[in-house]
Amino acid sequence: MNKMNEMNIESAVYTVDIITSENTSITATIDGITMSVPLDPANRHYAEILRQVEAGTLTIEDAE
Amino acid sequence: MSKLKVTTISDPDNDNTALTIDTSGNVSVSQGFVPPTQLSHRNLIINGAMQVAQRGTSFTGLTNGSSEYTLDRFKFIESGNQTSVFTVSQDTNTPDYFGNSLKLTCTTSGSGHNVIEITQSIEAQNLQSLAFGTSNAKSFTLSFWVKCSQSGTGNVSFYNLDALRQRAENYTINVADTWEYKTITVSGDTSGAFNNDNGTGLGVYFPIAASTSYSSGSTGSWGSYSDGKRGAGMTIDLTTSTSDYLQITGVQLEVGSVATPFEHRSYGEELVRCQRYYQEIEASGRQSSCIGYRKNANHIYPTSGQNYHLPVTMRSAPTFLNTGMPVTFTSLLNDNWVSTNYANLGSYTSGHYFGTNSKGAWYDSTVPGDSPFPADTPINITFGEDFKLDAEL
Repeated sequence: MNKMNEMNIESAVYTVDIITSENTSITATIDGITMSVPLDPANRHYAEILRQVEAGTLTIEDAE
Repeated sequence: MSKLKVTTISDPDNDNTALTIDTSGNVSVSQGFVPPTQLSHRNLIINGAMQVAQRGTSFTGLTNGSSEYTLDRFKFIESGNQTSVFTVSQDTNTPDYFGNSLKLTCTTSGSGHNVIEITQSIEAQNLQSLAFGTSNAKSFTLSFWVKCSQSGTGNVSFYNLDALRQRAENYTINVADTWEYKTITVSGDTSGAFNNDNGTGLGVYFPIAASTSYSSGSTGSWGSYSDGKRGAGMTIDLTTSTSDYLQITGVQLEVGSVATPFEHRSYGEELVRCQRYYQEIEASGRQSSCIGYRKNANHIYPTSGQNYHLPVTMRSAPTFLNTGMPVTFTSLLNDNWVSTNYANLGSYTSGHYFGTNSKGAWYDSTVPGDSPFPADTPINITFGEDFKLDAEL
């Protein structure tokens, strides 16, 4: 675990392509900023989302 | 001490002239020259001269919960519940031969922190020349200029995030309010390899304050992570007064046990290196062209989009940082301009999305039900802000 680079993730919601119904990215609020996070494990925000999901402290909600 | 006065040095076997020295002491090399380390691209730190500031030149109100990138590639990190507040800025007060420095200023004194640091992370695949994790692991040398409101002992810690191995070192600030040049040579770690990938390899941390438990660790050897190494041995504490500050520039980390002169790079070269990790794409106020419609088996949707090819391939697919921007759709319907405003695109989880990969960024809109535009109507899109793309480590 990277103990030197933790983030405060307030929410995470999948964004879907309305045509294909596939998840395209995650709209997340991290450290107070709303951002679009790509589903790339090398992306630091996505990696941290996955880490917190694995730790049971975060759930990625489905798109409405 | 002795002195050798010669004008020519030749090899002993064939008498080939290797070096000549003229009457002013200038040395000319006549044969091949094999340096122990590379002559260029030595510096593994990016933006070490603090030239590039894509996000801005002043970052105020940095306190508990506000770890963030400041000048390019340099991040403010806090741990604990600090009440002190800082500003990080790009400053023009520098030692000779530099144009900028990073200045961290205490604007509100306080307590409650574990550790407060300025850091840069180095991509793992750029560290392969160190051969860490092998019997041939090489030393590296960190050099930098520092100016601080306090004299005393400072700390730099190094953290190999692939092998989870850490090392702390100390340096001395001899005189307050004075630029001083520091070098720290660190032996190679034969136990902890860096992955050959685009993830974080080595973090370099400059703490400016640390609590007792975060400054009680050991220095001078590689080992497993401990909180105490992050500020090990340091005596400076820049949270005690609003007159406290620290400035750094000329940060260089290179293979070998000798600090060579700082490798100055042009602004353009440094900017390109920074853009691998962060870019801003001009989009604010621009009307993009639009795009007809898309359909699936059951529906036809008015769809618009805009693609941007990035000038520099980024480290990973970047995060689109400002999806909360406003966007306006405009179209000509029956000889009248009609507009629809979306105040906060980040509030949508379908119909609008920002996509990215390492080479491009795009906005895609498919909006049945909330658009006044017929399916085949050309639409102009006007973005409210430039695109901010983050592929930092």
